[in-house]
Amino acid sequence: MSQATPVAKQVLVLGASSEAARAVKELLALGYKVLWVSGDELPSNGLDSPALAKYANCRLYALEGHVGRFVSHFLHQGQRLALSTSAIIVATGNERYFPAERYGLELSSLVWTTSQVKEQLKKPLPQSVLAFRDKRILLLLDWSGETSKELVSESFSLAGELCERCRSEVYFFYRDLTVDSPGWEQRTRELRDKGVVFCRYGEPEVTVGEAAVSISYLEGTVEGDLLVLPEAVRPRGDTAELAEILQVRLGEDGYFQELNIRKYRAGLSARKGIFFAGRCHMDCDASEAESDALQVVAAVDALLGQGALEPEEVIAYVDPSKCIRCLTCVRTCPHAAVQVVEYEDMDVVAARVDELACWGCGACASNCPVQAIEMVGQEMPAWVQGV
Amino acid sequence: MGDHQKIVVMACKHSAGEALRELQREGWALPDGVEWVELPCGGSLDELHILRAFEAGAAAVLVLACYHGACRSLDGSRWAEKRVQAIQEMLAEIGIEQDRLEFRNIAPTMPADLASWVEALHRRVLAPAGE
Repeated sequence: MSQATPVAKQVLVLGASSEAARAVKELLALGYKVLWVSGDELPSNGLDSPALAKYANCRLYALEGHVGRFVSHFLHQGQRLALSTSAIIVATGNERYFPAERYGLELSSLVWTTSQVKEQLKKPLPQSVLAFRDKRILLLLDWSGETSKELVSESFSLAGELCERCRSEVYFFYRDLTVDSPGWEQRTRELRDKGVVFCRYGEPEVTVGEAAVSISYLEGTVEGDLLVLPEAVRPRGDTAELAEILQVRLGEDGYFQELNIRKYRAGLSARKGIFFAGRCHMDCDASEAESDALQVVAAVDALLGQGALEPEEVIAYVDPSKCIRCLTCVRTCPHAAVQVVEYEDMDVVAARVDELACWGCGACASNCPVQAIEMVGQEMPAWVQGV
Repeated sequence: MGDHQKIVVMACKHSAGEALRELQREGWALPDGVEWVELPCGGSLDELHILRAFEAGAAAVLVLACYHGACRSLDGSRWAEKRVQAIQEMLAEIGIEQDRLEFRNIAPTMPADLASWVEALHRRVLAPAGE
């Protein structure tokens, strides 16, 4: 039972996010062959290697097989494309939008998003700087809902840049700023030293006038030249479809959800060989997303590093002669390890548990209405068989 | 009650199993008459397992599974709880005290709770008959 099955050190990375790029880079450094696929354009960040194949603007429409032998089917430039890999890292990131309804404000010359400010700062000198020179800028976070960590982090960066490069006067309004990410406490201190004014509010009153904006809060009213609002993030529009194809479950918030077990392991999905990295499964900023990607690569390497996979100590086995093909096990297996297949040597069609994908939880065995599934390797007392 | 000399604990190895091993490392041992049956997951608990335990003479059965939402196999602990409830209804129908079958959620970090539950059940069910 415990013989090792050789597997290729080949990994599929899904998504064009910065954490996907980080995972690709790390996998290449560890000697893996990497297939990097995205529904969008892929970043051209100098990652080139004979071990890397890139496919941009691809749509995944089906996934077959299990850990060690996944076959992903894509549509690529009107052609069908089938890619074989041993593991899959999902790093599709999230989606940004401006929650106009939540804020009750439209964007205007006085109301900008953090991304608009970022774009402006990227423009060539002098217009990048002059747009904000000597202006009073009100950055308003946590308004009608918590700001995601990614946008908090970007707001910190913008506040610093506006102060230093543009000599703007920056007021940083917040309600519950949790500086729990690595280095954030330090960043807020540095911003204070640069002159950013942090203002904590309860219920702010925001007024957008003809030529100025103002925020009234507990300590008074601050008028400014520009109101900057962070965007919000949500799961990408294709997350639910992707989850269905990959046969993994989404959390209540619509993001991919890693298993919540003791001895946390990064990005562990319920399906063996499929991992989630970065912003497709957690609220984090770009640098945390990249360190998450590194941990996920370590988990992939722990799985595939030996070039062989072994089944768990306890696994389920279907007796094909007893199986009535009711699909109960296929539906109940939380790890998507069961399929109905043709047993050619016995000339029957019956359920089969993939021995490498099986976690040995026994859900299939206890749900099988005809007791066709046995847990191989599980020790049970004799009385369980009946007295 | 004279034949009923044991308690059967059916326990998920990821939570209760870990907690038991932690207790054993500290020198604690299961009281006499407590039979520990380790399951790969609460989800593998079959209603038949519980019935067979009673059939084999168990005075009480304690089922231990992970907290809901902390199951490695997603819904295993929910299934275990449902099966316990189904059997409790069955016990009520045939006139057996429902408190002879208990379900509890447990985490690997709860060895002290595990010991107190097992000892309390042992005192309640076995000790009066044994002494």
